[in-house]
Parts: sequence; structure tokens; C-alpha cells
Amino acid sequence: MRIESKNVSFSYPGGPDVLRDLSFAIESGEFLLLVGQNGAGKSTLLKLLNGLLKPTHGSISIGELDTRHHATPLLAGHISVTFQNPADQIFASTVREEVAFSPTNLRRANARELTEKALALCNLQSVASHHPYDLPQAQRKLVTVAGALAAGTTFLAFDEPTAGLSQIERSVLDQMVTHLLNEGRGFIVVSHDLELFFRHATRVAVLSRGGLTFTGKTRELIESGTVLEEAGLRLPTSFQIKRRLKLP
Amino acid sequence: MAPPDMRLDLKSKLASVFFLWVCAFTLDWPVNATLILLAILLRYVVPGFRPTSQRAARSIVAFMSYSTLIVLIVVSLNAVLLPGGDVLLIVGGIGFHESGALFGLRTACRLVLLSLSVLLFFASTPIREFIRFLQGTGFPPQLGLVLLLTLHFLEQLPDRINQIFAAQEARGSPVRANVVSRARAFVSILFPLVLSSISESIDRGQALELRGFLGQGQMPVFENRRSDTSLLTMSLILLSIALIILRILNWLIA
Amino acid sequence: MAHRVILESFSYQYPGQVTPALADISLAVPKGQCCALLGPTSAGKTTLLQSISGILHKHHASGFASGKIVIGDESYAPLPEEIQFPKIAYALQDPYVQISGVRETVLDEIRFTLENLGRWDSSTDDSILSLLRHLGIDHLAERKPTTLSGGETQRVALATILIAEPDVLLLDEPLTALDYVAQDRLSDLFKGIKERSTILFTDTHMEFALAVADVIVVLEKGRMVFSGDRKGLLDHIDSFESILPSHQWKELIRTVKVSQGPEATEAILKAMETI
Repeated sequence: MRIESKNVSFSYPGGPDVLRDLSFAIESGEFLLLVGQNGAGKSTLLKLLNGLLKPTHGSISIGELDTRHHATPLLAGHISVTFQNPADQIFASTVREEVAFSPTNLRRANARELTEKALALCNLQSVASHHPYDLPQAQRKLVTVAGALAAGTTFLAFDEPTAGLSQIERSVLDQMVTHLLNEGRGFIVVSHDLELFFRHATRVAVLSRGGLTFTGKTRELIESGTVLEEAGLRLPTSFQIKRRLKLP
Repeated sequence: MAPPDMRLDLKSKLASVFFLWVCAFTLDWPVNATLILLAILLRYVVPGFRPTSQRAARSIVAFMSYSTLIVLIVVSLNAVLLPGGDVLLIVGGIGFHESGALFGLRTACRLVLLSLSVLLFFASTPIREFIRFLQGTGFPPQLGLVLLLTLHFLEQLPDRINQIFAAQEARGSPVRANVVSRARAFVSILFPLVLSSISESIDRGQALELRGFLGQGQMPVFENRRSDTSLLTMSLILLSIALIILRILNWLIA
Repeated sequence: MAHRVILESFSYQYPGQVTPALADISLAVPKGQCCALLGPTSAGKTTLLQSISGILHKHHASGFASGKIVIGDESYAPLPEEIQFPKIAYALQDPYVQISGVRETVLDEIRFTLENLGRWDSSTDDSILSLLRHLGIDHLAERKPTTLSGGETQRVALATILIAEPDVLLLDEPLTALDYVAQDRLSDLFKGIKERSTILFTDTHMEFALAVADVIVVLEKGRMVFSGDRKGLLDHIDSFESILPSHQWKELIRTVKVSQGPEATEAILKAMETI
């Protein structure tokens, strides 16, 4: 399956362009990492992917479905999107209920199985009966991720999934991504945690002031020199130390 | 937001509302009707009475439209139901009587003046400014904190609900498909939303405490108490007292 | 004026809990220095900061505390019982909650702190804008605080506390939503304000601490398992895998140790200074 964005532009009514002429594509089994400064339009792009926002120009298609002509609940059967702040998403009284919401609504035949698998992948089985707000913030973030996984969709889109996570949760996320990529799922992830996601990324796209200034492989980006700087970003510290010390 | 020294002192604004209320109860409908027109003029002319937001401005316009309708209904009903005086009008065999109409007019003008003055006050005063003012006058700060937190929760509620609806749609639930699904979803999220907001409010209250909100150093920002607005406050209060005394005297003599 | 912060055999147990949240913590942060408290979630880092800030006692007065806390010339046995803002400022972990929501713009939100201190007048806006510039968020001055992204919200939340110029600055996980460039800005800011404010901050890994901290403390399950400087931490890093930022760092340290031997730590710290 394929997600394709063709010359997509977006602006809020009466406002300036938030996104300009974006074209990219991603297949299932691939990982697209979206990087850019705050305000570059990354979160807006994710909302365009599942139809919560419609492009003002151009089109996005999820498989055969054009997002302009279909409602979000239908598109949600193929792509699951999580947002930055868990407080804007969590509403159930137990973790299990929260995670089961998607497969139940999407009428998945194996909803129970999908829920348990998502809980396991996010290391949340031991707290499945707890109230999400009784958990530390880092785990609450993982609850939203599990909620997206349980939908069983081909594509997963996360907005800053590592913000607020400690090392333990980051490594859970890391392992989960590896596992799901092997299963053939596709990822579109907005993140400033280049260190964690560089090694998973099939392609990296750099968004700067609403436009794509780079789309290519991780290695190309690392060697490109100024692309990240121009977008107001930099390489992870460990990469830079490696360079300074001239290590392989 | 206008810089502090251009705003009308809250005490004067409250005194104005108090004055209008006293007039509503003590004076007759021609004066009250004039005061209603004056109050509407205040909203356009006096910076301190200008609405603080588009929504507030719209609420005043809506009020004026509805109240015109209500005045007509109140006057008509009273004119029909209360016999006495000349018959002003006959429509479809139903007579509209003078004394009933006058009574209706008196009641309607009183109601409109009472509500318009309060609406004008709250439309032109940010609630937070009002709470700060209350604190300055000895209102318990803890209560002020609770009010602020409740206000924040209420203001954020529509946005929070919309965001959760969007998140639910993104998980396959056709929340916004029709009124029934929307209502059902609303009911299912309201309780957990209130609970999470309460728990958040506790943290938010702590954060405010940690920023010295209930501390010793608190000073009201609007330090520029212009001498002429204090004069205005005093004049309005004195006038109001005079009106009340006159009314009482009138009642005693009559 | 920056104050020293000293804890002597400080322990704390929440009411109704079986095990202490903090056990026998002794640490010393000289005035004008920066201390990083590292450790996994639930190691006790937040409890430690809250015990210094006065809010722990305020909200859990029936908890059990022992030991001593010294802040500047004041000594508390076992811990401060009042919030002493702005002498001691504490920024909560959740930036969304830290922002009061009482004001319509970011600039006004920060003014609110100064108003509560009785310190605001029309000339203080310049210092507020300067602070926002240092944090890279001056373009957000007129924006509504509730419309910001995670990283922007976090920086605004920090600004609401930093503007008070406290003697002791306690920051609970100030980096969670910040990208590398924003972290660099914060690192520069810390170096600039250290003389005025002693800084204690928490983090779950050591990367930022290596760039700014004079004193590093590692907590695990309420106990202090390391206290020293950057060099000391790197030299003993094998014992503290939980605070390694990533596989890449693990590999990096291993490779540098292989190629540079005993000079490895120095080489890494020197390279960090050039970033």
C-alpha cells in the first residue's frame, strides 16, 4: 500500500500558507522521518494525512482513497495518527479500554487480540487495568501509541512520540518500531529525536517554513552539511562527537 | 488590550452598574428608557465599556435584538390582560389597554436596564481582571485561585472536547457524523474530561502557588488610580443613595 | 544572588508508602554552580526538587522526612516548610500545567510572574523580550499560550520561572520536548545565569548534563549511586547504563575508549565543548 502526497499546500481560512507544494510518497514497510523546527508545519501535515484537515491545493491519497473525498473515520482504517499531547486524546478510565477503542470502532474481528498485542509491544500489560492518569507521564504517552497500534492499520503516524519519554520507554518504542517494520507496517514520524529514528528511517524529509528542503536517505542528510542548519536543526551530539574525533 | 491607564477603574464601572440598578427600581419608565439608550451609547463611546472580544460584542447585539422582542411581548401581554384606562388599539377583536401597556412598559424597561447594565459590565471586563479586583478588595485569595482555575477549565473545555473528538475520529469513531453521535460521544467523554481537568487543576494550582500567586508580594497592576474616576465613583454612589432616599420619602409621604 | 544547596542525609517517605522515596541523600552544590540529577522515572528526582522547593511539605505534611537541607545561610531540619518564591523557584515537569492560562499572550503570561512579585512596570518588558530571545521564542510574544507546540510550550514555561531571577532554580525535566538546537540555547542560557542562580535540574540521561553540569548526581530507586563531576561520571559510566542516552552513545564511548585509552573521557568532553 502507498501513501502519496502530490503538490499539497495548506492554509487556514484567511491565513498564510502553512504548507507549500509538498510532494512525497511512502510504501508500507518504509519509515519516513519528518524533521523541522517548531512551527514548520509538521503537525499540520499529519492532520492532513487522515483527513482531519483537507489540503487547499493538491491531494493526498491513502491507497486508493483521496483524503479530500473521504471522512476521517474511514481513513482511520488505514492510517492511525497520534498527537503531541496525551491529554488531548485519552478519555477512558482504564488503559485497556483506552487502547481497545480503535479496534472496537473499526470493527476489527480480532479486536481483543490486537489490543493485547499493542499492550505487550508497549510494555503496558502490567498497568492495563490502571487509570491512565494514575500512570507517570512517560507511560501515558505510550498509552496513546498503543492506542494507535491496536487499530491494526497499515500506516502509523506519530507526532513527537519520544517527547517526555525516559530511556526505558524510548527503548520500548525502538523495539516496537523494528518489530512492526518487519511486519510490513509503514511509519510517518515527526520527531526531533534523530538519534533514535535515524537508523529506522528509509527516508528523511526536512520541513522548513512550510516547504520540503530535503528528501532522501539518512546518510545523504548527514553528509549534506548545511541542510539541517538551514532548517534550524543540527545532528545529534553523539554524531558530532564522532566527527570531531574522526571516528568511523 | 488597552494599556492600564486608559481603562476605566473597576470601582467606577461597578458604581455605574449599581447606579443603573437603583434607577431601574426607583425611577419611571421614561427615565429608564433613556438610561437604556444611554447605556447602549456607553458601549460605543466610553473605552472602559467597550466589549473585550468579538464574542462579547455579538452577545450585546443579540441581547438588544431579543430584548426588543421581549419588550413587545411583555407590553402586549400586559396591555391585553390588564384592563383599565383608554383602549389604545383593537386587533382582531382583542383590546390593548393603556394602563396595562404602561405597566408592561415599566416592567420591561426595568428588566432590560437591569440585565443590560450587568451584560455591559461583564462584556467589557475580562473576568480575570474582575477576580483580581475582588482580591484587591479582600476577597480570599484561595477562592480567587479556585475561580481562576475553574474559569480556565471552562474556557478550555470546548477546545479540549473538539480535540478529543478529532482524536476519536482518527481512531475510527464517526463522532461528528450527526447530532446523535456527537451527543453520545460528548456524554461519554464529559465525566473523564472533568476528572482529568480536576487533577490537572490541582497541579495548575500548585504551579501558580510556586509562582508566588498567593504570596506577600502581590500588588494590583492598575496602580494608576485616576483621581477623576474616584470622583465619578463617589458621585454615582451619592446619586444612587439620593435616589433611594427620595423613593423612600415618596413612599412614606404617599 | 546565587545560594549554595546542601542536603545532609536527607530521607523522605510519602504518607502511606512502604518504602522511602529518598533514602539518605547527601549532596552539595556550591553557589553559582549547576547540578544535574539523573536517573530513570520514579528514581526520586522530582521528590528531591520538591523537598528543596517547600512544596513537598505543603502538600504532604504528614510524610516522614529526616536529615537536613541547607539553602544559602538558612538551615532546615529536615526540610523547608514554606514556598519561598522567588528566592527558590521550581518549574514543574508538565509545561502545559506550568503555564497558568490566566493570560492571553505569552508576554502577558510572563508579566504575570512579575506582577505577583510586585515587580512589574512598563520597563520590564525589555528584559522579558530579551529572555525570550535567548530562548529563541521572541517571535511568540503575542501568541496565545494554549496554541503553542510542545517545545514552544516548554520554553515559555521555563521563561515564566526564569524571569524571576531566583537564587536557586529547580527545573524538573526541562528538556523533554526540546530539539537539539533549543537545548543548545538552554545550555548557553544556563552558563549565562549560573552566577546569579544556582541551578538544579533533572533529566533521564546524561547528554545535556555533560554539556552544562558542574555536579552530577545519579539516583536509582531513591538512593544516590553516584555524585561527582562529568569526568568522574564518564570514567565510571559502565556502572550507569540507565542514563546512557542511546546505543550510539554506548558505541561511541566504547570506540573512544578503545582508540584513546585513559584519555577517552577528556577527548569526549573536549569534543563536546566545540559543539
